[in-house]
Amino acid sequence: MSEKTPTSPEERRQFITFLSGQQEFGANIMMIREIRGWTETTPLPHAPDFVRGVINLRGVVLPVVDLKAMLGRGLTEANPKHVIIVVKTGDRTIGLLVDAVSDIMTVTASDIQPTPELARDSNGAFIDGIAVIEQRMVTLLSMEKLISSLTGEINVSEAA
Amino acid sequence: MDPMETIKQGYFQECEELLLAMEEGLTAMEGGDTDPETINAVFRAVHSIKGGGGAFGFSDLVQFAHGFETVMDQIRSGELDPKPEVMQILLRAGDMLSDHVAAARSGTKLDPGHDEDSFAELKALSGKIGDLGEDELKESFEELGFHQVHLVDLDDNATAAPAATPQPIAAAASPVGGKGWLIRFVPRAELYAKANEPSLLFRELATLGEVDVVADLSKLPSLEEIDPEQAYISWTAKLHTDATKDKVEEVFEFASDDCELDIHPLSEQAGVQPVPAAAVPETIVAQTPMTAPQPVVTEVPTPAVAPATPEPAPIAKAPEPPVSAVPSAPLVEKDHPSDRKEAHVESTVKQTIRVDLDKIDRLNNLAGELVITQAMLAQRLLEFRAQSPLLANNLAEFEHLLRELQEGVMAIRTQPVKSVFQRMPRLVRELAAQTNKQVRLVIKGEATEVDKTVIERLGDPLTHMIRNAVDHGLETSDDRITAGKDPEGTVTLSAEHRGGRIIIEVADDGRGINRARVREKALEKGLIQPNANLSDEEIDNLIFLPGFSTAKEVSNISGRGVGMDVVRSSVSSLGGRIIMSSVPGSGSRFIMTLPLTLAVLDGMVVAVGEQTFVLPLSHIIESLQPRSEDIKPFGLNRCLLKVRDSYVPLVKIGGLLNVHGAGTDPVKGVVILVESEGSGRLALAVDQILGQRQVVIKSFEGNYRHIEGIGAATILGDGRVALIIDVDGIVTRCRGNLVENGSIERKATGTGP
Repeated sequence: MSEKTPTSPEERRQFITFLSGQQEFGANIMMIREIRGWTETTPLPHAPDFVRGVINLRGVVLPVVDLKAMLGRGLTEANPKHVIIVVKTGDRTIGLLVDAVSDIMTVTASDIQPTPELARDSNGAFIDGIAVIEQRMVTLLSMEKLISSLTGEINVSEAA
Repeated sequence: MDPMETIKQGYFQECEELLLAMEEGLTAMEGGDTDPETINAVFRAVHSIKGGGGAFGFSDLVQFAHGFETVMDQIRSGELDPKPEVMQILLRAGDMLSDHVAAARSGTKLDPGHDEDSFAELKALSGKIGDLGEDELKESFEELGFHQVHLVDLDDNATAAPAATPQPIAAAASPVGGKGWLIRFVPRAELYAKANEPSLLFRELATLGEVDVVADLSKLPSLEEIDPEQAYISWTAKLHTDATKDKVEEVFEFASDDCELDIHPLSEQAGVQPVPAAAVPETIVAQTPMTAPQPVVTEVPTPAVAPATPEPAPIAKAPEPPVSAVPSAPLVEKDHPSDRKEAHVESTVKQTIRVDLDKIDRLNNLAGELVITQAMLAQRLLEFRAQSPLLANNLAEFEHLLRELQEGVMAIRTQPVKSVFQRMPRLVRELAAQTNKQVRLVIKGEATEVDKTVIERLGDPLTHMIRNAVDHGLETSDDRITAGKDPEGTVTLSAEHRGGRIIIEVADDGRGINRARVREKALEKGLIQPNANLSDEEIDNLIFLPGFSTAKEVSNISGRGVGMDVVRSSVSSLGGRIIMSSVPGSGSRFIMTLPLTLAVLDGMVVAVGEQTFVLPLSHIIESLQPRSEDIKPFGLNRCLLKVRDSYVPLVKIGGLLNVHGAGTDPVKGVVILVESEGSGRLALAVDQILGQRQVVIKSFEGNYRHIEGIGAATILGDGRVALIIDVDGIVTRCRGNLVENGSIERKATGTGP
């Protein structure tokens, strides 16, 4: 899988890092199509609360997921300063609502630590590991797992 | 894909078109069309199918097609009269041929004996069909409409050469006076490379006087060794003329650098033939006068010049006795696709290209986006109060162009319904045979165009309706005679555009609906109440209810456990509606109205709370303002609404879909009466009706998941997403709520990780 964290020590991958609820996350830059400002969504009936609804992305009906709510930390109070990261894996595209995009960082395999055993909770389903670079700790998200959980392949409502 | 497979797919695509052309031609012939072009078209179609089939080694197909082709050829030549009995046999043969193609396509074999009857009929008809042998091959080859070139083979001189030349070698020696020139002309490859053409030179020569040309093929190597770029053939021409040597040389002026040219006075050489025809067996003989160009000369040099032209194979192979009958066919047939193609194009005039559907869809999407962006732009300008008549003009122009563009792109996806309609004659023939009824199928408006996706999904309901018409609608011939009708029943299939939709009608002139029986049956099945007061129309339409079938015995034709309800559900899944009307004793009519495309939908835009929804217009019966006294509570937090004399379940969209800020009192809003699939009518309470419009359907299931009650989404003029309500999904959702009281959501989200 292209999204997997680097396996050989020399292999470098670039991650976009972003903030959501004071936590810093990273996602493989290859998965990111674009970053755009928050716009009002059309809510979807009977969707879990972290699915904020759908928006029109140049003709594509794009579901928007609130990352903070998905990780069980409550809804983001979205305003135009918030950011939607458009993520694409395979033929699926979703938007990820986060507070702000912070950086692009290059990560090698040696920078990545597995998720500590005790910290593994239901969120672990989408987390690939932790990258520590220059004293910063970034949680690496697996966008593929996140998206497939949305489309019903993994039960989200119970995981969240 | 491996290249052979690609070619094969191409062949099958071509077969589809050819089978259609064949069917069309046969139907026209059946209707009394004796135009040679029609008969030719059928012949060509069968012939092309056979040719291609041979190339891929579909021996059964080739064998059958060959028989068919032979009969068609006899009709073409006037040997056989296409009278009705003959046409029946041909129509059956046509069906069988499409079975053969289908079998070849799926890589299966037809049951041995499947085509036996039909083949035997053809054999009996023709009296000429044997196994595919040399004679038939040659015969069919000659009949292709292009001239066969007989090359004389080393061993075959005696038989073939005279056949090709009614005025044979003797002419070369004929002593037509002593004046003239003997010209030996040996072209080199460069001559052909410069696009010179010996036949033209000879033709030019013939303007000087009578000319006899003898070709010397002695240098022609065997087929395997031929280098198409090389020149192998030389000619000796006797020119009987008064013209001077200069005149003759002038003819070869442009070629003289690239050939050996000897010109001697004829009188000197009289009686001495430099290349005695008898001594050189490998000879092509061309006769005079050259002004009437004979294919012999014009065709032969071609292989020597143009490597792309695959002529040498058939030319050399044709006279050879085939090793085995079948594999030899491809060699003869397949190498002439260009000739056939041209003939085909000429006869159809219209030119088409094949385009990947994805590309068109992308274009379609983009066009839709442009329209939305344009609407947003217009709205923004309005907000900024950018008022200028010029700007308004430009915007209007822009919008107009965009609409046109969108329509144009959508039109690419449309096809005539002919492709589906053409499958029906066969169905009717088979049904007529099975039910022992005489049936005539009349097809109208088959050129009506509709979206490809609609066409693809039209086949099943149409098949079912035709079956129903023949099986249930029409009476047997005896009954018809008793009733004073034409013993032959008529089923009419027609299509037309009306009001942005396509109307497809299947009508029969049979006995009509037996209303008493329908009513009785509906009662028996508990579909209606004994005291129900139903209009004739309502009774007729009971047959669309699930679990309804009136056939006294379950026949193997339409009584397959599926009834007209299946037809209705497939029509409604296409966003269409179906109604029927019937006059006892004189027939029934089934009328389908379908959208022209599945990419857009006519919808009613409604407001519910803070949100906007779209209801498909095809499901809406009426909208009304409910009075509070008409709303009756029913069971656990449910309501029924009294609409005239009946009570229908009232569903609050806001509540059902959890819409924020939705009104709770239906009296303050509007109720829209919709017809659902299988569950009858439903009253949907919304806050407000915003208008009607055509919306572009956008699926979001690919990016998210299916939501019960929501069919798809669309993008409104302001760029916001609105959800399209799926009426049948609403019914399912209501049922779920009723039974499990909200626990449906848990179930719908699936099992744990």
